[in-house]
Amino acid sequence: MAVDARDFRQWAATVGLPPAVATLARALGVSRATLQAQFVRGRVAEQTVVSAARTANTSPVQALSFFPAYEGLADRVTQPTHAEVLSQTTYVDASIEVVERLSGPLAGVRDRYAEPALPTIDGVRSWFNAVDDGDLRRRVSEAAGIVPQSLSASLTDNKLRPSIAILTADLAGVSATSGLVVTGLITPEEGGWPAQARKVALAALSELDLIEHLNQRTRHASRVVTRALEDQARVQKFRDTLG
Amino acid sequence: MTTATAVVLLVAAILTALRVPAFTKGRGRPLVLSGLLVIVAFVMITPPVYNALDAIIPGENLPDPASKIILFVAVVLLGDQLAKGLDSPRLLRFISGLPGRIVFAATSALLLVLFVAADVQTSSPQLEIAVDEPVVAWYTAVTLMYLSYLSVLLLVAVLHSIGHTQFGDGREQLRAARIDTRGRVLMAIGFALVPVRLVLTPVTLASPDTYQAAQFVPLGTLAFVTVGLAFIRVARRVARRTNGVISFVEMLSRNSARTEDPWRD
Repeated sequence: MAVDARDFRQWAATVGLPPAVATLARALGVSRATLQAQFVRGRVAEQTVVSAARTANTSPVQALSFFPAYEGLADRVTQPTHAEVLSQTTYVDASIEVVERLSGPLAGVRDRYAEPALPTIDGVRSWFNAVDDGDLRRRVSEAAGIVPQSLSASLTDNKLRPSIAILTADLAGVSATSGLVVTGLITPEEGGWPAQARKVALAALSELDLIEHLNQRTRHASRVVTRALEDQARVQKFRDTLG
Repeated sequence: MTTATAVVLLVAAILTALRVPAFTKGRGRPLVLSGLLVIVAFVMITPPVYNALDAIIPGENLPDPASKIILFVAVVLLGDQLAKGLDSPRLLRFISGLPGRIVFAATSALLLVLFVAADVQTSSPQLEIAVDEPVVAWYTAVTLMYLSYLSVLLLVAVLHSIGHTQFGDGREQLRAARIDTRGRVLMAIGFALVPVRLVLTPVTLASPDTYQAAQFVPLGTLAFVTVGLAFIRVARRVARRTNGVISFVEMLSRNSARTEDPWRD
């Protein structure tokens, strides 16, 4: 669900963005055709709102809250849960934490390691599972008016429409912006996550919990790579036979 | 020969010729053979060639069933390669396995029986002159039924594979996946046209004026399938520009790069 183009123009005026499409497109770093198409349709994508807010040095969450569909979003931002943050870590993040704990000459590796941008691989599904109380898929599907298979397909694609991401967070009782963070629409900092949240969450784990987390994330990475290799073999066989 | 036929055959011939270098290295031989046989089958039924062949070969209209059986072999060869490429033993069985060979043999035998029974004594490509006679109508229908049988099998398999053309996150891999998808879509359109031609058979019988127009449908199939195959060939080349190594760490960094530039894809 994108926002109304008239509302967008109104909001853009309030934050001092240029009204002309060409100038605005240049300021946002998008092609004029992309922006023009959104205006012609009368619906402006949330991604555009976020880019525009960054250009205007405004909080993207505050910017989204201006629009009726996202009213009150900024008021529902809370701290992310430990499980949510951990769901966004991979075996690489967990391994860095292990190496950090070895201390000695390897100490300080955690500080030198930059947290990868979100969404992480399979991160959207991992987040959904982390906030799922057992019945979330059904509740989200019903509230959003979509079939559960469509929601599952979306999670498999590592995507979630902003409106559904917020709906999921609200229904799960977590910070309303968490879904926007894990889908990569906004950065963790913009979504109200503490700085370096993933590193902090991993550092707080006991050794046993870290081993179990690493074990779980390693199995996940193994599945991802195995699946990618199978896909590669299948596609290459097709192209080699027919190409 | 109409201009459309000439253009499609020329395109098919060029695209087949482009595969000859690979053919000499032992790759893609069945496809080159299939392309050549299709071109031969189509050229055989163009009036000047048909009349010349009919004058040489004893008996009347023999080039027609010959061209149809050559076309069957060409489609079976293509289907066999598609089934192997899609790694589908089930599809392979129904195209070139025992069940597939039984259907091929039965159809070819039935085609010859109907040809003899039709006994058309005037030289006419595709026995068009007697198309309103029931035996000739069945002769045409049997040909289309077998080609539709193969095409529907291939159509279903290709449609299922359309969403699975991507394996890497690299720029070239994504480009290759897009080209690959387009190739599969074009092939699917081509295969879908064959049953359409079969469905049109009663219309061409009821109104013989529509027969010539309906003959453009197989031409469309040839064009879509050969161009679709060319797309797959381009996709292969594009994908080969990258090393294609699958790495979780590489996937992570690709993901990050895309997040920093969300307009990239």
